[in-house]
Amino acid sequence: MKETLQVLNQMITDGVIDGYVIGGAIAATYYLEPIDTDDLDVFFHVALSAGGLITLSPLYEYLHKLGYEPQDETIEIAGWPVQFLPVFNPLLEEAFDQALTITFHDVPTRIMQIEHLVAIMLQTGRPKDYARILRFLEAEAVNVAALEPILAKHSLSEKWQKFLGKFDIKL
Amino acid sequence: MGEPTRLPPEVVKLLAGHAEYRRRRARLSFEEKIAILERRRELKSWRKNETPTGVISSAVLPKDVSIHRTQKIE
Repeated sequence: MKETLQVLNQMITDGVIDGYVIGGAIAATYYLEPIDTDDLDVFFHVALSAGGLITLSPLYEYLHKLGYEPQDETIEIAGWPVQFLPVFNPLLEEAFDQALTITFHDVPTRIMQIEHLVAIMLQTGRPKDYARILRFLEAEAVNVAALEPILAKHSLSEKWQKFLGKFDIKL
Repeated sequence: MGEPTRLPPEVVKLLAGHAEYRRRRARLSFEEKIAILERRRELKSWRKNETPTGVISSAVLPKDVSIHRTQKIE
C-alpha cells in the first residue's frame, strides 16, 4: 500500500491528477476493524477533453509508462488494484474538499471523513453499503450531530429515516 | 407481535466476545489494519493460484489404503 500511495502522490506532482481522496472499504477500515476488499477506491476530478468529454486517457497512459496495466475496472499499482472513481456530485465534492490528511508509513494521503463515508454509502444504497453503515453505527463511530446536517444538505434525511426505521435503530 | 426472542446466554456471550474482538481490531493503527488486509489478500491469491500437487484418485489406491483427499502424496 505504501508504494501505491507513493505512485498516487507522484501523479499529483506530475500533474496527472489534481488530488485524490481514499473512500470505500479502505477508508472504512481507517475507522473500523479491517474490512475485506478487492481494491482501493480513489476519488479524483476527471480531466475533460478539448471537446468537453470525460477522458481517462492521460491517467492510463501515465500508469502504462510505469508498467501498471488495467485489470477489469481497476489498475493494479504496486500490488493493489486501484479503482479511479470520478467526483461526480455535490456530496462527493464536499467529501473530497473536507477529507482528512493522514500518513501511512510516513507517506501522506487523504481519506474521507467518516460522516461523508456514511452519507455516500446511504446515497449509493447497495446492500453492502447498508451493511457497512450498520457496522459504523454498531461501533458507535459516527458523530450523528455532524452527520445529520450533511444528510439534510444533500437531500438524504428521508432516506436516512427510512434506513433507521428498516433496521429498527434508535439513535 | 409476541414476546421478543431471547438468545441463549452462551450465544449472547459469544456475540459479546465477537463485538469486543472487533472493537480491539478497530483500535489497531491504520498500518496494522492494512497489513492484515494485505495478508488476507496474499492468502486469497495463494488459494486461488496454487494447484494441489500429488493428488491421485482414490480409485487407483489399494483397498486397504485410506487417504484424505487433500493429503499430499510423497
